Amino acid sequence: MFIALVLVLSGISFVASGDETGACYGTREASAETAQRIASEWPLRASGDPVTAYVQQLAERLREGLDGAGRKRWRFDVARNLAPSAFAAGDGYVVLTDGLVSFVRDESQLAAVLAHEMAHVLEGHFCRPGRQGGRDYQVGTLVQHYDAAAEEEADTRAVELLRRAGFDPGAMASLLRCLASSTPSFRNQLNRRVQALERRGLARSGTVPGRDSPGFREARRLVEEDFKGLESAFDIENAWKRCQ
Amino acid sequence: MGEEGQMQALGAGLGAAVGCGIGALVTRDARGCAAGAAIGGAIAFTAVKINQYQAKQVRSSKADARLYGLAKPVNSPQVKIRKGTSNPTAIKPGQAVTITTDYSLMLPASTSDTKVSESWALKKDGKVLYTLPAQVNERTPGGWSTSAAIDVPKNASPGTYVVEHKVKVGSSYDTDESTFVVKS
Repeated sequence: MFIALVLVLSGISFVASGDETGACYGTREASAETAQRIASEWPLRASGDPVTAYVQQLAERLREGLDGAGRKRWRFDVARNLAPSAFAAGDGYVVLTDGLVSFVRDESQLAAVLAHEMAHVLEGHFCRPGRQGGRDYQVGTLVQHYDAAAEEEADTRAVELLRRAGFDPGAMASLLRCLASSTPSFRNQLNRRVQALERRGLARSGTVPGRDSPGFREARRLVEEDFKGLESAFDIENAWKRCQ
Repeated sequence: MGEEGQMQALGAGLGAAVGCGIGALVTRDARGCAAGAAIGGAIAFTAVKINQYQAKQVRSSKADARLYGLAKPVNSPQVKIRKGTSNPTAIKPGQAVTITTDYSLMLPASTSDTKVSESWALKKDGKVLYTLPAQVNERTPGGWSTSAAIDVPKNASPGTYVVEHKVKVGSSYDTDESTFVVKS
């Protein structure tokens, strides 16, 4: 459970057997292979599913603030899983769980996660040769790499994306703070990321909370409807109480 | 009509009457009454129960991996519905429909089996009429086919019914939909 929580804001997934996924020249092929594997193994919401369509729209709002290569096509898949999680798989492909849609406190926080994952691609984290430092985690049959420096870069870029798209730029820090208070094993890592944002003056809230769009509210309602009757080991309510 | 069929029909009749009363009270017009009756009609489905529940492993873990290109063991239990079906797809009121869920269960290499929850919900016009009790059983990894027969009441209203198939293991769950039509 705690691993899943931390993965909410960790970034980069690689096909476990791949050997060139860290190199830019192989990114497109590796991303396509990852997407194919996820489609055959993971319970994904269909592309026409209203929750997936909403997430794609939310990402589109973030994309509109980008220039040049950032305006490329982005693809977001939503996996059915009660545990909140998200990761980028290179070449504009991002996967998140519907547990994340249920977990976030507001739409800006969900946008912050999407922006963070987009930032991994925009910052060229998939183009760096090798993967020195950091830690690997397995997610399904994929290997996910966590590197503190890359995470801080992605957090910083995400705040910029949030501001450009009119979301609360403080949502990135507020979500990290909550994760830090909910996951003792990763508290230090997450707190360091909050402190990095604070040092750069990027942790302050810029808008009044409670401006969730009807699309967000409907997506969350649909997810919670699907969650009815499903027992979860993940206690979202208490996780948020700890963050207040 | 068997004893159980009579019970169901009676339940539907009472449901429709009570529903009409509720509708009329709430909205004081004929449309309200119709809506109330529809709610009452749905009550008949509370008599639905699972008959002939069956589950069998239809693919070994290796066969499932070959068929769907699964590369290596997962690190936490994962489920994916391959197909949900209702058969036959068109019936008359009072007949039975067999609902079947075919799914893949993936488990970590160190886990030989785990508890899986399988459930179905019956919907019409976007509303849940009835949720069949979840079946929770130990399952080994591979492909599973689980099915149940549901008796559609003799007074079920005509139209398209949607069956929501749902399977859950750990935090992973999946859903699929199939449909059948009740003809007048």
